[in-house]
Amino acid sequence: MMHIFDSFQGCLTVEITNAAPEILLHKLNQSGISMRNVQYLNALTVSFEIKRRDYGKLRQIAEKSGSSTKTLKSNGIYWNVKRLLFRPVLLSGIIGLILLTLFLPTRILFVDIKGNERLSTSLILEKAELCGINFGASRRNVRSEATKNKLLSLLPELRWAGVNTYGCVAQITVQEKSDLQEGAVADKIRHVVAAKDGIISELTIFQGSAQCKVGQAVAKGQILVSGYIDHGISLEATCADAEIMGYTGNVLSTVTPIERLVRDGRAGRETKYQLLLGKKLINLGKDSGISDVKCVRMYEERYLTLPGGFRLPVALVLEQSIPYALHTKCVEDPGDYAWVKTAAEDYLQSQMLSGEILHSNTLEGIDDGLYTLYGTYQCREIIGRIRSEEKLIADE
Amino acid sequence: VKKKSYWNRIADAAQLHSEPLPGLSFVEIASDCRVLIERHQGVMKYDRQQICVKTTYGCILVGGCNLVLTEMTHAQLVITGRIESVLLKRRNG
Repeated sequence: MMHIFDSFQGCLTVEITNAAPEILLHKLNQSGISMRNVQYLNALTVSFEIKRRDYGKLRQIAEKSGSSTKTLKSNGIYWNVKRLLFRPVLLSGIIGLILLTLFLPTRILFVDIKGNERLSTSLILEKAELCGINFGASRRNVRSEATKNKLLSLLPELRWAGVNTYGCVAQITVQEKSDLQEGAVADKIRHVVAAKDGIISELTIFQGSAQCKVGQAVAKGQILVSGYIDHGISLEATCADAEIMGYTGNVLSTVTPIERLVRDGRAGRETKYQLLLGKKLINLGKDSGISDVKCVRMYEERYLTLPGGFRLPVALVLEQSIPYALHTKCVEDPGDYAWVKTAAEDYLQSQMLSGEILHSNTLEGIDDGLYTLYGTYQCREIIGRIRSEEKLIADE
Repeated sequence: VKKKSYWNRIADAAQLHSEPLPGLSFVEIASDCRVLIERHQGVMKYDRQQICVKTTYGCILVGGCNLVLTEMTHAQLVITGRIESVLLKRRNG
């Protein structure tokens, strides 16, 4: 077994042929050469391990005694390092790996955002990039106070921001300003206003002072229930709340083409590959990427993700074009307007918070390949909407 | 009766019977596969069945199978293999 210190210096396995190997071994031993694994090969030949530095002395003694020496093997760390010098590619790879190991921990490779609810992650990332928190940034600079302050100034919606680094990951922890902090006073004063022109049919007030009565005609934007309550000697500012129903008149004009183009079966599929490096998109195909009108495009980004879940800014973009055959189809039976009426009424119903269509007058016709429907509708619906005072001033 | 040497008398007085005496060779057999000889004076004969090691008081003949000189330095010598016998052959004998 080779000792670790001998391994650093290097060892040699030597074969010696002599008339009396025992005497030679004794001479070597007397001259201070340490031997290991002395193997008896035959009556004249032995092999053993010696230290590299003892080889010169061994050669001298062997020559004097008329022995022949042969080096069988060289082993140990010394020889391995020496062999490595003859493999420049491997050596440069190892040196590069060591340098990368030293360099990479000082750089930011991933950015993680935590604590955002309303602000999108992409927006924070975009602003963080302007502050210097991006791929390849220095860890030391990222953690500075100046970076945090700059981020806060770029995103006024944030109340607080902190940047921590864990290995190559920069974690930006943010806290957003709440609505109450933004305008606590303004939000306390709210009115109920009319969303449409109409006549009030039903009035239920939960909070606030009424500014109208049942049967009264009101205009759009008019305050129906005020948030200010007059107590005689004082004025209380509250958040008005009421349920106000009213009769409204609506005019609706519906236009739809008689004929339309319908897709009819796929006619193949074409896939185009692109490489996304950061924000740069490299087209791996030859064409311009402009698809035909008859094509349906499917866009997919496949990001390179590490086992820990961190996403590298490298992605393979697959853009699939699926061409379809189109043919003209008549919408419905010409002359049957019932479906147009239904569509118009459905649309009107969807625009109401709650309510019903009481009466309608419609005028239908076909003009230049189009169905046209002009209708007037009398409805009963909720017309009261809660608005903050600040909003009212802004509207005016 | 031969008189005891100076070192032997000191060792007896100090009750160090198990300790090797200074300047004298020391032989240690570990199980049946390893023999350690300290302060040897060289190998006299070496083959796979028998190794003869010269010491201060004579030759030590180690017999066995597949004997190998695992380590051979100026201070000590280690023989490994299947040890069958260890024989001391005195210089004057």
